[in-house]
Amino acid sequence: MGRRVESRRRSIWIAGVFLALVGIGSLASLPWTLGRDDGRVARRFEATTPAQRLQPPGVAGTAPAGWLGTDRLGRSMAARMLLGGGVSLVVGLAAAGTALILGTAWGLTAALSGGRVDGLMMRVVDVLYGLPSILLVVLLAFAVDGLRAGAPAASGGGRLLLDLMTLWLAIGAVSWLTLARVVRGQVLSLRGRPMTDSAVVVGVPMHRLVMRYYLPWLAGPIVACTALIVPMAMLSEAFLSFLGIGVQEPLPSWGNLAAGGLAELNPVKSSWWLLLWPCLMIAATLVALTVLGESLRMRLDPRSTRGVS
Amino acid sequence: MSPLLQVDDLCIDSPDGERIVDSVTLTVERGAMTALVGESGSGKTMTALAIMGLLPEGMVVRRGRVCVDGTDVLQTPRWWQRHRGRTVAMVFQEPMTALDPVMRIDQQLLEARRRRGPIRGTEARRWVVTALTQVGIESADQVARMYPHTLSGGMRQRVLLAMGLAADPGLLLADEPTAALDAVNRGDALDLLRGVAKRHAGVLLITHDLASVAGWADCVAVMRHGEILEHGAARDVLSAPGHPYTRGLLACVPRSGQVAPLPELDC
Repeated sequence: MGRRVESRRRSIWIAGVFLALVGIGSLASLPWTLGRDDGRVARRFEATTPAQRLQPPGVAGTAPAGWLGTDRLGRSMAARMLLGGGVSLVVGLAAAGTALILGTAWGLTAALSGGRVDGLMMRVVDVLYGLPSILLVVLLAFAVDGLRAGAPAASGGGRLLLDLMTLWLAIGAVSWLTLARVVRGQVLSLRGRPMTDSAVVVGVPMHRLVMRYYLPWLAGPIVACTALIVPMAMLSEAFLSFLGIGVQEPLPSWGNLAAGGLAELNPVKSSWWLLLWPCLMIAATLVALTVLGESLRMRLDPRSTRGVS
Repeated sequence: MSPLLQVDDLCIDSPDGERIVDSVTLTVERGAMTALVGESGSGKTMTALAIMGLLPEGMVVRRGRVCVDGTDVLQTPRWWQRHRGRTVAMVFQEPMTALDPVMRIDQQLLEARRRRGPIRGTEARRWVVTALTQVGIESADQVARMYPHTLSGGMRQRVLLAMGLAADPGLLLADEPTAALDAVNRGDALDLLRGVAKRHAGVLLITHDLASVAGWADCVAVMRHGEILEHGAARDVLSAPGHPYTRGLLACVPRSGQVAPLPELDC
């Protein structure tokens, strides 16, 4: 028993430190990956150096840009991996944030309205639950793309940003379902408690009731649930980018880097590093996020036996 | 002038059609305390919840009127949203579960007090201490900063009472407010309620304990199986009960003179 707790604690630490490194690394390297090229080495994520194309890791000189190898256009994999990680994390976190707001609001509204409104809102959740969410994301991404086709084309950075926003909204829009159910269930159980009744009978109005009586009790389950939405959102992002409808070249994300790496695999000359780094990072990050999310859920979920009571 | 609370011919049905409250008629005058006495399951609490507009889901008011200060509240939409706390407030019977365990006592009291207007800072602190002292809590400034789990049942009951009184309601419904208290504290709590009634407000005291009524309530209504058996001035009902059930209730009240002393134990 003691050893199991010990090893779990260690894995939480490893996961936390790993995620912190990834986050800080991709943030701290932004000046490098987005910075101006000074002509000597290809540093910026889209800077091409055709002479250096498809260099295996460590070969392209001693510059950090070459440590992870280069791709078909001679772009530094190190730079692209760092920025790609940032993009993946940001999209994942932003989508989870959206899901947090949407799910909480939806669940609260349904539980507090009760009756027919509640029924209708929760049937909407049920229907969406039944549909494969990735299909929904694909459809949403296409729909937004279609809408944008009519609008005047944005240039360069603006277009990349729009891409990211589309992806963020599409993933956020399908990730809130579990949260809405959790919040609604919690509110319903809180509503039946004597402590809420005794607040209602002395005239505490609805908004105070939600803010002071419900939210402190909801915070734990909401945080736990949201923590598990983050890896799911990142996986959706990676998958969509892998399919080519997510993050668009030249902006890297681990998903489209992996797609690019797969295209370079052939029996004649395999550039394995193009596939290995993104896959490794996606896998490790998802595991780390899930470990952290699960441990949070164990601590905060009222139904868990180890929870704080 | 109409009485503070006038309940007329109130009928409440449960979801499966059973009549829980059967044509109950009841009055609470200003400045008076009316006791609604009855055994568990007699429909006392349902009557009170109907007055508060908080009937559990499925319970329906079939007919009847509930007039507070002359307003038929069953016919006035959104009346409770505006008047709960201020015009009519209630104190519940479960002292162990009726306080939010993650909120300090002063915060909970202030949530109830906000109904009367904004209050903050030292003014709020001073008000909390006064409110707690008023319900007989000593060292109120320490209790104010505590969490409910550190308080005894009797203390919590007093805090609940203070919450009920926080917004200065015109009518207070007290559902078994003395159930968790010992005999001495029960007297204090009833004195307090009586003081509330005397000041300006009406109190509807709901209890199963006829003994606690004697000497404190001005009016008594005896309830059984959802019906009011007897309703009148406390003196009349207690001295000359008209219904056999009331007589039975009075007979089971232990009197100090008749209680046999504890036998000596030889160990």
